[in-house]
Amino acid sequence: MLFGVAIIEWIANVPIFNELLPQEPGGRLIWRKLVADTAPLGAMGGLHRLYDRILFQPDVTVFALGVVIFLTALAHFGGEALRRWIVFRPEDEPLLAPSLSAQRRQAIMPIAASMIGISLAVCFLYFSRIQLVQATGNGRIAAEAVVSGFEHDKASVIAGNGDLSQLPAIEQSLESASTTLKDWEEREHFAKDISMMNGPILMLNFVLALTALTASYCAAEPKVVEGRLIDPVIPELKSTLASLRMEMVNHRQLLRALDGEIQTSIALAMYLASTHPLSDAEAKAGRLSAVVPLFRAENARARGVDPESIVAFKQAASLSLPVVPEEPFQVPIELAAWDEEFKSLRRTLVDDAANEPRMVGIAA
Amino acid sequence: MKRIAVVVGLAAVIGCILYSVVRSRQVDEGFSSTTLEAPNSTLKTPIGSRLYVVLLDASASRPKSMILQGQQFVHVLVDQMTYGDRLVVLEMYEEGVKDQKHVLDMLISKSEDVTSLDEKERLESARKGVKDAIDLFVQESLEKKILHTDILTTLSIASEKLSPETHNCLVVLSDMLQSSSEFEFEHLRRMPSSLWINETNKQGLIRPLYGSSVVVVGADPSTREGVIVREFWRQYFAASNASLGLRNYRTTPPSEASMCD
Repeated sequence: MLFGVAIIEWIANVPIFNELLPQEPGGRLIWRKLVADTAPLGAMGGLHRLYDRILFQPDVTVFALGVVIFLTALAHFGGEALRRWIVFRPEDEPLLAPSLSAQRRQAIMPIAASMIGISLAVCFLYFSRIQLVQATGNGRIAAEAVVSGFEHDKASVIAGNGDLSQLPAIEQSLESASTTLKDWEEREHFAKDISMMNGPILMLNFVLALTALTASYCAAEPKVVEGRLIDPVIPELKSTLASLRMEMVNHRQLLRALDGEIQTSIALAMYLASTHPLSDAEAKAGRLSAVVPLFRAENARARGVDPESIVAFKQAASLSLPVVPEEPFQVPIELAAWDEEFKSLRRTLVDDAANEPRMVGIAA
Repeated sequence: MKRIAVVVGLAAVIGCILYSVVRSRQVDEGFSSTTLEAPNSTLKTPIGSRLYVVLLDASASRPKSMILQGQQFVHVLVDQMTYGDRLVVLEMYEEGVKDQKHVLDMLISKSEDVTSLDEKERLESARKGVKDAIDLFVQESLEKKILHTDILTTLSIASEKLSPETHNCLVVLSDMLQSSSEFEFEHLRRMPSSLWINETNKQGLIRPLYGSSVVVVGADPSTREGVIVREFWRQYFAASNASLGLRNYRTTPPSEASMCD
């Protein structure tokens, strides 16, 4: 719908923008030739001319398209915001009152901006069309002055007050100036016609903006559910809110599990740090040394050998074990900071849980 | 996404507006500079273009109707002119180079603002200007009282207008009867001797006409005297490196301008 409105407005405005914006030298002449070329096509020539008109001055066409998109986009956003402002009434949905109030508050800005923007754009077009008459009138007067200047030069030469050999150049300039004057006269004529229709065109522009606004407003049709007129945006909003709350519950469960895990891990780390597992390392080394001769004897007996006959066994075995440090095991310094941070986060979580409003029942 | 599209759209609109404003200023400046430009005053025939030199004899011995016929022939020539062509019209001198004679020197130039679409119309308007100027020039010449015709001096002056780099066409609108203190061709009263051309040429007194095609309109080749005069001029033009065909030596103007080709 909006696309169709934009296309209609665009096609209707391209000829006007052609006049509003300055034209390239010789542009009128080229256009006349294009129009003349479409004459043999009969009724189909109109379509060709429309196509030519759109492509003739691409910058003008793009400009016109830009203004039209500007208008319809503003109307679209304005309509959408207006819809939100009207539909989201906190008194209709008390459970969603805070969200709806926020939505209404946010809708005010697009509504105001779109209204101002639409008014400015339409007024720009309106005053441009008014100025067009004056501008083309000034252009015609300037062109007339140029023509009369050359005519005066020509008359002066013919009267014998100038160089006769300049006559061809003057004649050429006069021809060019006359063509320009003719163009300005045509443009002024067109501008006057447009000016006469300026009021209706202004209304038409407003109608098109209102159409785009209404189209956007009516994009979401309200439905009657259980005897109540429900806007489709409301269930959608409720659904979003429910999913967010569910997500919040899941996250809270995750936090609790994480909280327990962290507490256990910190306690375990503290316990392990205080156990001193290497404190009886020397006694264990003595006991281990005592086991060596026994192992040798058992080994020789199993192999049927006299342990006394093994030369290597005649020397007592000596174990070379690393020296065990006497200092107790130290936990990382960061652990205390982490523990403090954890406690702080935990306090925040508890406070947040205490301040959170009671979860309401949500039925989308 | 929508916001990005809106921002891009607004930027495009603002860009177009700025571009339009800048361009409108440029167009306005261009308009004032092209249309109010003074006509070019220095004339130089481009290489390879045509140069027409017309010698106008408006002496009292010639009937006005013949002069006007010659004028019409020049109009036909002008219709063949295109951009870069030049036309010089000289009044026939009466007695030596000290005479004060008008010269009409016109170049059909193509100004920078001429486009391919309107060059034909602009060329036509330039031709019209040339014709108007010729008409005024002829009219002014007819108002003067001219008693003598010094064709030889006029040809010498015409030589200075011609150029070896252009295709030259020399049009002589005259009865070709030299009437000066030295020669009087009318009724063959004082004709140069048969050796005069060779001797004068040897002395370097016959100036070059750079291969010009010569067309004579207004002469009388139908009488014995006229034929003698014609032969003199044919020899003279041959000596000055110009060509005067029998068909180009005529009383009435040709219907087409191809005689100059």
